[in-house]
Amino acid sequence: MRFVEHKTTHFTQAKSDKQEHDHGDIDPVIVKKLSAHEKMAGEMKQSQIDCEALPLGSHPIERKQYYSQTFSMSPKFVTNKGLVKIKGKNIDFVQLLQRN
Amino acid sequence: MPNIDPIPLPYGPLQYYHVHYILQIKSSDNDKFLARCKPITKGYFDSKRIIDVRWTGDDDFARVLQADGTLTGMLKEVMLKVGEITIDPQDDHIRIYGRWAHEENLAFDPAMFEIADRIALHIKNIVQKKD
Repeated sequence: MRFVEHKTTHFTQAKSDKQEHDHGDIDPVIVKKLSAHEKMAGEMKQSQIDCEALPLGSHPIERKQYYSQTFSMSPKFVTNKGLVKIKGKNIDFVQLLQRN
Repeated sequence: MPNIDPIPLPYGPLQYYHVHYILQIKSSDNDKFLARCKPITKGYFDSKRIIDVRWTGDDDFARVLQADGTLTGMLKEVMLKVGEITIDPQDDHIRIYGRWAHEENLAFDPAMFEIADRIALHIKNIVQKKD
């Protein structure tokens, strides 16, 4: 039995579930959809950065304001796409935001 | 070839993302860590290059960042792509971010991470000195 893993090219088409299709003689295909911050965490791990993608909305920092509005052109409406916890660096988190 | 939706929705989230590098630090002077970096360029189009960077914002903090030669060297390499870097302080954390990135160009940038990490190091040093 052979497993082929496909990753979505679009960040927005992301959900953390697995779908398995089995069509008799055809090899089963496992489609693993990654959320935006999970994909970024994977890229960070490839760059030898110790990190962990946190579940969406699990950290208090995600429920606070994302911009201080001190600078002009700061957006008012954004969507939180996830938080990545960084270990062993001066930076503590990396957050992904999507513009509305 | 980018996958462009021929009938885009007139509402909802856009295809632009912001990557925020967050330093969790709480001090009485968090509002002092306000700065923005812009490149000083020379030439146009293909010959455009960065000759220096300029930090604006809180005087003391901007001076510390401007004095770091290593940071300036790192910034010169990425500022053409990143455009500008903003340090946006909040009550219990400080956010460092560049420009919005389109969905197609969204990827982890190790150079930008190193820059944010070095800025975070400066912030931690300043807070430690004051304490």
